[in-house]
Amino acid sequence: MQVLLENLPQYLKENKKRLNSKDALHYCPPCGGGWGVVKTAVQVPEVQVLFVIPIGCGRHGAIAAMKDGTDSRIHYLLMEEVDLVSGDHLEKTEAAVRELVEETEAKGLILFTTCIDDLLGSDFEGLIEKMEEELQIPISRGKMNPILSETPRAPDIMVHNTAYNFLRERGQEESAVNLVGCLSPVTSDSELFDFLESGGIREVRHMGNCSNFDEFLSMADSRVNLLIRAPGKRACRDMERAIGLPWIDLPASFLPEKIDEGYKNLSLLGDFSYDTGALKREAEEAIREIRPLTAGRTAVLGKTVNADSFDLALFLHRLGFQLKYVLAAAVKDHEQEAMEILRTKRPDLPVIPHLDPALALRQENSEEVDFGFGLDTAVYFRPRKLVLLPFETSLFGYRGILALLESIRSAEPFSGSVKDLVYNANLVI
Amino acid sequence: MRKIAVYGKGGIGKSTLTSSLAAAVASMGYKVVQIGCDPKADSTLNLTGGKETVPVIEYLRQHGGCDSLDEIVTWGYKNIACFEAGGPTPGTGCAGRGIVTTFELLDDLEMFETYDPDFVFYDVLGDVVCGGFAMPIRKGYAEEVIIVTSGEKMALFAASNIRMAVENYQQRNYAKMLGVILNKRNVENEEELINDFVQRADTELLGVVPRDKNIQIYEDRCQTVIEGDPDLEISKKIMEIAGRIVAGGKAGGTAVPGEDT
Ligand SMILES: Nc1ncnc2c1ncn2[C@@H]1O[C@H](COP(=O)(O)OP(=O)(O)O)[C@@H](O)[C@H]1O
Ligand SMILES: [Mg+2]
Repeated sequence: MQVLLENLPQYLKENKKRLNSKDALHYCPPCGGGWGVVKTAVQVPEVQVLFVIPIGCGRHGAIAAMKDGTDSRIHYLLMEEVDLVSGDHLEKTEAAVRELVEETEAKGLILFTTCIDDLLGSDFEGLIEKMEEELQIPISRGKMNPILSETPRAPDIMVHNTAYNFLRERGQEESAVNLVGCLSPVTSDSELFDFLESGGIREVRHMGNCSNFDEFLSMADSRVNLLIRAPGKRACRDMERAIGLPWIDLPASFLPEKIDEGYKNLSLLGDFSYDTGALKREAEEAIREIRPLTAGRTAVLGKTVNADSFDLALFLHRLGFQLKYVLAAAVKDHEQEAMEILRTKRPDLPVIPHLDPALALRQENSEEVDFGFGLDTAVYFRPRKLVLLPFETSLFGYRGILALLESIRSAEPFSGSVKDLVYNANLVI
Repeated sequence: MRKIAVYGKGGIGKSTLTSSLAAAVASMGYKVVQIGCDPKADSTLNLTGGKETVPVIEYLRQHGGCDSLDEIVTWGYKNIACFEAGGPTPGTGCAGRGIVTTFELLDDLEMFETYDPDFVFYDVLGDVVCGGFAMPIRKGYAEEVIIVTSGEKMALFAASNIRMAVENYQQRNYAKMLGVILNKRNVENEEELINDFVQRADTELLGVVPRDKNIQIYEDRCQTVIEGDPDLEISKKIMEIAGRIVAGGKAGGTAVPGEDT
């Protein structure tokens, strides 16, 4: 059920709910795999992951892990009904944990459970405490529980907690900060690093960049968490509570005014001599230059882009694109403003919930557009040119704008098969 | 902050006593929260003057989510913050999960940080039959457990089940036994039976509550006896027990027939 931007319900504006209706089945798109809880959690180096899981639940994760080459660190303990109702699965889990710790060189363990143990209220916290004491190894609880998908405890949010729960003792390293919420590290060419360095912050940590478990643990010593993407917010809040690690909102955005605001926020941390002015002008110039290529071109913005939907939509609108549709899941707090601006410019813009079942029908008689942003646009539409903006690349700042413009400029006509795209991106559902 | 879970067989008088004790503790000047963890959702009626608190599960059913404590709290006698977990339609759903969901929501809404209570009472149904009902005595929730029982066989059976669950969890540094309250049903040898249970359970007797018609009299007005008439014998009795709870237990007495400890 698409809805025009002018009619976007109030509850979405208040960031209370996601766009996807609770009254309809969710479509499971062929490109729906990717950065699920498995791929996110295995970024913590040198940990082993144990799924306590009924036989049908782990398949996609297992196959995706094979394709990603992380399967050697992922293990499964299969549950049967009688285990669950009798509570025996807790004892079996203990045995499996012991075995895993004995047979691998795990520095830590992530124990994933599913919706079933949520419903049963199984006491995994107690089990973890006991096993940590017995085996002297840190264990963190993970949940692969899509039943909570549309809630504040959605798995894609809680998985950040799963990772950062390992951080326990806080040290003091004034010259280090963490990037939280972005699934992959911010690309190293971003001026963010120059900016931070000009204020004496030389070390910028991201879990995906840590080469070993100890290095990951040193994230606890950093001066502050920089929240780059919204799903990491709860983890930031909980780290502040648990170990007193403060955090600053620094949302990745493609809008110069938001980027400025972010650097202003950062300036509260100390004196930064780096002047973003020149780069800002360069980005603005590049935006002007690219207009002949973009003005009046039709475009669809998909959901599988490493960006906030309405933030990027407004940016594309400003480039002169004639946006045909936006696929989105929610309006996040820090893109409310962008959404409001876009709403006044394009009240007629149709917004499609990204799991809307009607999307299944679009594959057959897909509409042609000049540009598709996101792999999913190639599934539902026929983009002449495709810009992927994958989650593996986290763009940030003015260099982020420049990189995006470059990928628009260099986008090749798309004629390949969607299936190949999906396979090559290791998307498994 | 002290968090205390009150367990016992259905109908034994948990809600009556929890509310009375909460009222008593609040009247000593402490900030108190009471959370009813029974699908009946009737735990706090005698604190709210009969005003029905919308059960959390019911609220979630209707609204799909909850963004503010104000939506689900009812302020009762002496500003006791009253919550009801609620539960499924009888015969369906999962009441245990209802408790888990309620606790997670109260966490999300930062209830403890916001109200900063001195005492939190959990009024929990039954004899700890599954994980959900054991939730209140797990990590981060109640740290102390009071069992309410009479000398009746089934009540004692439930009491020892609860004791077992606490024992089981205690190994994991969860809630500890604070003690037992005898809510009298006047069965044969009631005191002896209780003393025996308390001893076997290796815990304390926090007090004996006689059967008293005033409880019903004030219940009909949706009040606890503490609110109704603090000078009644029964009210004084309950105040005494509340005093012991505040002092951290350690009554150490035994029940004496014909004499209400
Ligand atoms: N000491 C007592 N004297 C008289 N009536 C009592 C006493 N304790 C409980 N009752 C009555 O027993 C009934 C059930 O008590 P309640 O607190 O609702 O039980 P529970 O919460 O354990 O299910 C109530 O109507 C209450 O008035
Ligand atoms: Mg009751």
